[in-house]
Amino acid sequence: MVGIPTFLHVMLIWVPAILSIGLSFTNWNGFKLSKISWRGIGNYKQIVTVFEKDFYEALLNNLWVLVFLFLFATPMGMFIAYLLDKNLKGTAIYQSLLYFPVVLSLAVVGFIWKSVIYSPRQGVLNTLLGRTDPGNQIDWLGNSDFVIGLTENYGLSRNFLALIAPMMWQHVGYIMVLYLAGLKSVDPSLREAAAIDGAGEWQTFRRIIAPSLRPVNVVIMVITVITGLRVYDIIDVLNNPIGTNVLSLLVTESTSGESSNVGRGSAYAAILLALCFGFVIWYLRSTFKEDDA
Amino acid sequence: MTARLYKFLQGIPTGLLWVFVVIWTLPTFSLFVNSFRSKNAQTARGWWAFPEDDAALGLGNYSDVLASTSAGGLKQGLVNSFAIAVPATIIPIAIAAFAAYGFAWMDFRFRKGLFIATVSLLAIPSQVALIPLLQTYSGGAHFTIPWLEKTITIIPDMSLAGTTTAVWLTHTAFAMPFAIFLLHNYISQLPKDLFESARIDGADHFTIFWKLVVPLSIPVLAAFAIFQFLWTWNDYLIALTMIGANGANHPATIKIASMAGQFGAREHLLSAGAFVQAAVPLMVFFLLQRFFVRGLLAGSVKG
Repeated sequence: MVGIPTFLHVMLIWVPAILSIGLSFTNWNGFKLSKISWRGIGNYKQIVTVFEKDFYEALLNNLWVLVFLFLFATPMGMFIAYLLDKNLKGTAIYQSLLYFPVVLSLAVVGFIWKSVIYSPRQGVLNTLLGRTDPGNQIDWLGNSDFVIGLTENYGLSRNFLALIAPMMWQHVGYIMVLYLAGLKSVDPSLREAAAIDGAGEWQTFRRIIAPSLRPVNVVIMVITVITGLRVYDIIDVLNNPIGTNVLSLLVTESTSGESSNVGRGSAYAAILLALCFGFVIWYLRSTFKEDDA
Repeated sequence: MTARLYKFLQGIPTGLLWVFVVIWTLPTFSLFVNSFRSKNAQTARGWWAFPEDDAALGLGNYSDVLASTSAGGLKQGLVNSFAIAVPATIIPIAIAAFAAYGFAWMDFRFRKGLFIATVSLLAIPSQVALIPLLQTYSGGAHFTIPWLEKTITIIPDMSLAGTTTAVWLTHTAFAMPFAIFLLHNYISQLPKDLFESARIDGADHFTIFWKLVVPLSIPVLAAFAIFQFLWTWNDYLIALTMIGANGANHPATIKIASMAGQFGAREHLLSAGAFVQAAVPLMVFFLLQRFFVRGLLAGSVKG
């Protein structure tokens, strides 16, 4: 019973992922297998020297996504779920409307924001700001100046921030639904007991609701991290504007086209894998510890 | 005075929600209006200016985008999307449910280790495996023993590259960790007595699975099905990598993305195209919403 699924994911995920690591130490254009040659850590050296700018920019951008999702989108989704859980009138409508973006493909979402919100000439933002005249237009997706500059070369570019917005737009609805489902499953008698004992809203939340939501929080954590590290579609669809590199984009970019190098692409993939694994190990340790306790 | 203040404070959550809802709906609503406007109108003014357009709102873009010849074959794209999403939804559920049951209620060696190995893949993005996977699909997997100069074929060349089969097969594999995780959470929390009494009555694992576990797990199976369908229907990366330049097999997401290129000649059709593509997931969502919300966390939250 366990055999087929195990075989499937071992063959189609574990083996390729390990092969990726293997290939990252080779030099290969991706066409003839006989042309593979051993390269040692050459690809990694190249990444931190020749492709230094791309690599650190991508790494930092992935990190920005995580930061923004964790600091803004996730708490916002939780907050909305908390409001909705109070059985306000029309909860179903709010819920559907806020969840709506999650149903859309990121490829489509990228286009929606580009054409409707960020368009320099007739976008919502520039119109609201009164900057639609050619000459003083704001080019939301084209301007790669830093909003937050960490060093001279690295920081959070304006257009990447503009791309994080639609990601958050989707993420809030996702978190909201998960959290709402969690809230609904909190034992109502516990809440009643708390109310009878005279617990205030904040106290009830802290002592009763939050502890029973721990499993949901783990799921939300996992989903947020995965989303942050997987970012790809929305940037690729918008033709990868300058300043918006992410790791997964580097993987595919260095393995396609004229100057493709599967070795280097695999090295990027291996780095991505290492990042994910660090998180996975931490996550598994915390969940299995709880199980044993 | 205090009563008034109280009422005001009580109204805040609703007010706040309305603000959220308006902001959250704005992008999609704008796109919706634009999808009915002519090319000239779309490029000339923002969507809110639609009453001043030369041509009235109409279904022109929709008929253009669905015409089989002119619009980059979105129709074919939808067919391909179904060809990917349907098997990529059904197959993972079927096999993951078996595995989840096995991990939860069967004793065998390395159970915990194997389970960890499976679930730890949860956070692995597909990009890390796509390159060798594509290579395997296009040429099979061969292993040459260097000192014997003998080649062993592990996986034969199936010429899958460029086909929708390659896409759903990949989706199936990558769905395993999450599917097993979600279903295991649920199935492992079914009451133990149930299984024990079934055992005493002489039921084997297979009978228990079909007669007990499957009927009891319907909510979580449905939730996963919805989730997986939406995910595979909306996928862009895996399809793009596996199908590559073979336009005949591109799903709707890639067809739409490619409309944005070509020097903007068809960019005005994008809004209609996006809505056509989104119609299926929207229908799935609104029809099965109840299942989705309730079932998705059915197992993760002890209720």
